Amino acid sequence: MSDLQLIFIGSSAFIVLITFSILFVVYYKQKQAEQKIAMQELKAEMQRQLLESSLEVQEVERRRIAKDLHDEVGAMLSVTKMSFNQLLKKINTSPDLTDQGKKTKEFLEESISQVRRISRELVPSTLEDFGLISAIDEFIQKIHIASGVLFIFNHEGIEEGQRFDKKIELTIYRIAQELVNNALKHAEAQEISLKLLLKPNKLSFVFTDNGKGFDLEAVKQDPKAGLGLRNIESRLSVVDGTFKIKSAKGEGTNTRIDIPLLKNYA
Amino acid sequence: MLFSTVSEVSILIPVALILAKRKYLNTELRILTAYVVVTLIRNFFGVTSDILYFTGLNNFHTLFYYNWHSILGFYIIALLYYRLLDHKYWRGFIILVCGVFTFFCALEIPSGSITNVGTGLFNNYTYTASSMIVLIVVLAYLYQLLQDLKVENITKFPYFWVSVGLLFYFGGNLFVNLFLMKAAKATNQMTWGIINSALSILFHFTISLAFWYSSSLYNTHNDE
Repeated sequence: MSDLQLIFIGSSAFIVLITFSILFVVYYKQKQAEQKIAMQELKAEMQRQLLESSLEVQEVERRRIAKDLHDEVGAMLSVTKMSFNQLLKKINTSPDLTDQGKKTKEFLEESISQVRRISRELVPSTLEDFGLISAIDEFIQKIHIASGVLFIFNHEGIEEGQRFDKKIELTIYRIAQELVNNALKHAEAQEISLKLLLKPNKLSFVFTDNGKGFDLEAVKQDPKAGLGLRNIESRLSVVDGTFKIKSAKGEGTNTRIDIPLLKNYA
Repeated sequence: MLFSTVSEVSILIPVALILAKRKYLNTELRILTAYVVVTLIRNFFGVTSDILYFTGLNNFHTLFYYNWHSILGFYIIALLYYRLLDHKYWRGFIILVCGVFTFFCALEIPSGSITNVGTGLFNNYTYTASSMIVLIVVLAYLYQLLQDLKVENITKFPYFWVSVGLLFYFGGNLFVNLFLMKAAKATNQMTWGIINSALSILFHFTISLAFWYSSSLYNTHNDE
């Protein structure tokens, strides 16, 4: 074996070692990047599950409070009202006492009515029994009666009693509540439009109001003001939904929500 | 000869970095420092001999120091990787091969290569044995790094550079021992010397990088 051949073999071995080292670094970094992505996905999934269970706990707690209000407080108030009616018949001697008694009876009736209202609002029983369209319809009618705000509610591709996954229905309903409350409380809107659109692979919800509008970037920066947006974002993350908000001062607000139906459609 | 002297002097680069980064050295890097010190002692005799040769005085054989360096160096590297490898089987393997290596060392005694200071003979077995064992252990460690993926930036990780340096140095030396010394007996010592010197310079450079990045390791441990 000549020196030239040996140098050739030696150089080849050396090149193999250099290539091995470079490939090691490249492969290491590639595996590291894959691991990082996997970890991020796992973290996101864990956060989503945590949020989902937190929302579930919230709903269970709402249900419990609503039940207690209706069955315990409501029942006690009804009994108190009946007892007070008996008492009112017996103290029907002085006109002052009678007036005071009537007022107290009115307070009691108002309390019973408020307890029923709160109980119903805590658990959207219409949503559970009749679905999204009926629940939103009922909700906006109540708000219309209370505030006088004009509502336009359309639904395309969805029939009246059509049902979706419980999580999707609840998500859209709660977001609709949040957006309507914001439009009334902060934007002072006089006209609100809600639209539900069913497409083959997604359910969209479009909300528009003619209120004051807001600076989206400023709201995102403000931890307190951005809370509503984060709530919407959190709720949507549970059903893999996305949302877009368009708003400017004096130009109202337009919010579009898209929820994929492939995984969640029941 | 001059190239060989340059390679021997190049050990001063990691020595300087050890002094500069001494406060960041952990146990493993201190073990590596022991290797550098052993190499420094060997090279001191080598450079002294070279100077005597260049000045026309009678130089002396340095193979005794090279032979001992290959033995001590192996044990130090084995200790280093005993600490770096997490798996108990690999640790057991290191203990076992250290025993086998000691047997090979004992076989060198009759030739006088490790007992006679003025010997002109290379060790027969320790160079090849240590090269093969170190390569296996280093590859095991690189595999462990790939499995764990704990190191955030591999190119700034001291033990990666130590491993790469050992891979080049011992891989090269294995080639020299198997091909140049055994297969091509006609090849003169000059060829061996040039390759060995080039490998030494490269090795000194990579362990210098290990000491250079010791501070990043220190910071990572402190952050943890």
